[in-house]
Amino acid sequence: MITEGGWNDHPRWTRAVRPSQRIAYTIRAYAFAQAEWPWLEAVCLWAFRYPWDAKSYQDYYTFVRTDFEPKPIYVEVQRYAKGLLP
Amino acid sequence: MTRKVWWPAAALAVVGLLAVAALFTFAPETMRLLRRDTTWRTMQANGVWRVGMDASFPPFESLDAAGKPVGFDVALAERMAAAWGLQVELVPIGFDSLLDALQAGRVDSVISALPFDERMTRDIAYSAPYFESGIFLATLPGMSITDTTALADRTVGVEWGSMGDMVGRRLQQTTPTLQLHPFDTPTAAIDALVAEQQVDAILVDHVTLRIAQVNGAPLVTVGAVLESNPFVIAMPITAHELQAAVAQELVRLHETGVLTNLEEQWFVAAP
Repeated sequence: MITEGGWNDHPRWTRAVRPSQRIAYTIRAYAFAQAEWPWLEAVCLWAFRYPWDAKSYQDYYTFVRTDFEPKPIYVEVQRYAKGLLP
Repeated sequence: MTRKVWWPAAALAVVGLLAVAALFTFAPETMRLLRRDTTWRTMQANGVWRVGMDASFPPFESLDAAGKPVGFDVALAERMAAAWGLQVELVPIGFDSLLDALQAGRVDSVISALPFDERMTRDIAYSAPYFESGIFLATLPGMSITDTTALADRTVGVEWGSMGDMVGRRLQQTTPTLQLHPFDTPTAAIDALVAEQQVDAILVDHVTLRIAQVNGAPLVTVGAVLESNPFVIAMPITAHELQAAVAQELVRLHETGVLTNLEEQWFVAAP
């Protein structure tokens, strides 16, 4: 099991990627793991949600906002998981 | 021998203590004003306003070729300090440590494209917003889109995965015929609207939008901000004189058009 991983798309963190890259890299990571590591039971990425906004780059690791509104990355991964992506 | 009467003094002391307690309870603002603002007085004594800043976010703050901080926030701090007869000392601090540095007294204020955090308002005093960086709906003049209810059967460009994309998906819940067209970058979305009319409008952050406008893109905002993210100045909670001075100066800079001039000066796209 991969217990932690992921990308950050904060607009001012020098180690962040663009939001579109974060979605593309994330889906590619899941797809790669599924294709190349059939023995792997799960891929867990950081992070589903924080209980409150950190008002820092940490907020841009989450897939869902503190009020549980899904971010686009969550919806895109959901579509990938359902086999809805082209 | 005369016996000393102690009870009048004791009664007076009790009444005094009760009065102070009442003031703290029912007039905390009055008590706050009675306390000295050591931040402001130290600034005046030293002639320096220490401002914490993370110079890694152009056009608000970055380093020029000589390593000198430049940008909108730098110019804002310099103008405010000059209005008070002070010099500004920019203290370089990583973004995530700015508020800690403020609370530790390493700086007098923070100006660094800092978002407002309501959870910190017990420990930090924030100015009124000096720039709204949130998400706006924007379009070209003559597109007859006057508010978000006019987006039915329209196509709106967004940066895929961005806050603008999220706002667009939120709008789709009430306007299902609104189509979102994702792009890899916000400038690609702007080009699709301005140069190609491939979309009818865009949902984009206000920094990107203002840069495009300053550089000649004929974009107009539609309605109020849809996802607010105001930039504010942070100050010590006890620095009431500094807070008042900042508030007054921001109003003056806004009313005299200086803030708009700073946007036009610093939001010029890089060559």
